Amino acid sequence: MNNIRFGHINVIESLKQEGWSEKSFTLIFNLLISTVFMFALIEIKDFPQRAVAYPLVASIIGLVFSLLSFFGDLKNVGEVSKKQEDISTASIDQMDIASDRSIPPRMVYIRGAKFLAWFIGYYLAILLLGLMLSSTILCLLYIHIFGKARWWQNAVITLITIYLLFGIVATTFGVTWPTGIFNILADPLPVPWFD
Amino acid sequence: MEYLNSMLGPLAVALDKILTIPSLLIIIAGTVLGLVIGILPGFGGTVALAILLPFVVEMDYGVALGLMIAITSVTHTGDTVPSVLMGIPGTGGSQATVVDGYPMAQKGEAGRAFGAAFLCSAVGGIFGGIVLLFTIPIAKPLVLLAGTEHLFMLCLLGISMVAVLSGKRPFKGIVTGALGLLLAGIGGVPGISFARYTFDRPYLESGIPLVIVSLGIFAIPELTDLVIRGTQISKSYGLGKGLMEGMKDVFRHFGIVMRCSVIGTIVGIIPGLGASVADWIAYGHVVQFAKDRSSFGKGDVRGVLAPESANNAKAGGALIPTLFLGIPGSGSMAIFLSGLIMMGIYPGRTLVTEKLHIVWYIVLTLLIASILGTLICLMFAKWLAMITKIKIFYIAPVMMLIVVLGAFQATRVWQDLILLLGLGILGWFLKRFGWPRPPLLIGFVLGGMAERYLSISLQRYGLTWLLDPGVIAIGFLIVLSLFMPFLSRLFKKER
Repeated sequence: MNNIRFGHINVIESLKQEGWSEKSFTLIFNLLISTVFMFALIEIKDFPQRAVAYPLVASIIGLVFSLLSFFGDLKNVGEVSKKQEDISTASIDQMDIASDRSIPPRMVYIRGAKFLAWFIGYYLAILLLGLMLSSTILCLLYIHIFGKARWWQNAVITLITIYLLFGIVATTFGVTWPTGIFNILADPLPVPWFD
Repeated sequence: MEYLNSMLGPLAVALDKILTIPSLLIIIAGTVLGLVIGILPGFGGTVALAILLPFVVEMDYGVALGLMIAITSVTHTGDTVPSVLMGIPGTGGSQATVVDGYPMAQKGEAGRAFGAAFLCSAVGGIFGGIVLLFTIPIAKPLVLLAGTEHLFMLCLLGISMVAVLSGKRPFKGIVTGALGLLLAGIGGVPGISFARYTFDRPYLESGIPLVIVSLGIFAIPELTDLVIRGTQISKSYGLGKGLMEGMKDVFRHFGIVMRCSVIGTIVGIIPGLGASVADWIAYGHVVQFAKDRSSFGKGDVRGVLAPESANNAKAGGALIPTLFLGIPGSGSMAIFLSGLIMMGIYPGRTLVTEKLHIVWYIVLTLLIASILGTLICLMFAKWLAMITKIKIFYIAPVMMLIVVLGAFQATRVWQDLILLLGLGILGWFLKRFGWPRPPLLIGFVLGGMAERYLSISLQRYGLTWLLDPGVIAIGFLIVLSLFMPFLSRLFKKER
């Protein structure tokens, strides 16, 4: 088990050296993507003939190239970097802007998880209180905690945002929103100017 | 004569629609929105369109297109502001502008950089629009020759080029393109009553809404990264004087502006090459042909003129394959194309025959927005610069709200929001680990269309369409595009 080799690189020893680094996460993520394609291929066996061709082609292409990409990344794990190679190889000189690498990875994941927690909390609030009330609370809390604005600045920003947003989208675009289990503010409030 | 009438008749319809106060107000609103989006680093046209799409898609085409095209046209005008003042590219298309624009600000010449950038952006945008305009009579007969089998192959070509050209690791681009194709395969199969990959969930039977994919894959990761980075305030230089001087520079170096506009338009036409490629190629061109290169990188105005002309000209070029072939060359064009389809406006044959007035409307909007964007920037440069000082913590909750609201409009069920979060997490990890995201979106958009074209082609021609010369030619291009990165690496090694 400890002697899995890829060329001259001992994979297990290299991963041990890397530890829980971003390169390891990259490999795990790569494997997960490959697993998705494998799963898609397995599911195809239950499809009627006319429904098979399209997902079959997509899954095979995805699986083959994801495994090629996996082995390509695996090769990088063992090699000593003579220069700091950026893992994020979605190069900024192509179509996608890469993640900022100036922040330590641990900090990135912690901040990312915190933001995700805010999203989940927002969803729970929407479920209970409906979108309008939960959005107001979100704006007030978020700006208070992170923006460090004074309470009256906070209130003004929140009120203007909620008024403009719900005034514009509710009345002008005819949009609906989730009302929550208690059905609070189920109907749009009469909004001066936009009505 | 009849041909001329068939061109000018729709132009008259488009003019009649656009030269009204409501239409012009919509274009102004879209222009202002596009400028603000460009000024806020980290957002960009793709995110803006993803957020806008659920709200406008059920409106009159004039409103929807006016907003979408205006945003697309001027995002690269507004992105000059943070590039020059803060040294941070507003979007991917203004990275090269930083190289000379920021040193100009450091020397107290930010105003001159702005004057030059804003005016040449208008020139570039107008140039791209004119090229699009002159492509219409050429494209129409070509599009009418294309059958479903050719359109299927063009879809594959678009996906393959975008997948391979995006990022330093083309394998990853191909994988995300395939992932987009797979996501598009969820739900009903054309022509038979069967739904794939639904796991007995009725929500998935009609497929995943595009709005959820675009918001999840683009908007949430960008917002998350902005929050992770924290405050947007960094050392920002003042505007200073020299706006008029910068505008005069455009005429002093008009040859550079025109050549780089050509570069930008050509780059826009080729699927897979984004605005960031256009601006670097243009910058490289102007440096290469300069007699004295020593001033580049130290605040040479030519280093601002080149990328800014190119990245705005790209908008017009990118609309050519999108409108006439149904091949979006970038994430923003994929969303724009999807918006058209959701409004019942199909690219290609239908657009050039029955709905040519819509193409004219798009051209006119592009031209008006390009000029308007420049005028607004020149008049309100100082105020626009203040937007760079807004902290992300004021923007984040507003953006969360808009994204959630937009996502809910897709099918107005809770599953939309759960899927949004799931795709948002996927999109963030794709970005973090260097997997390009635009191929996923383009694969998703084109996948459904490709399967439909394939199904029709098989029904009409069996397998004989594979022997069609046009199909073989496009197939050859697909194979070439897939092997292009490897061939170019091999070529470099041999040299």
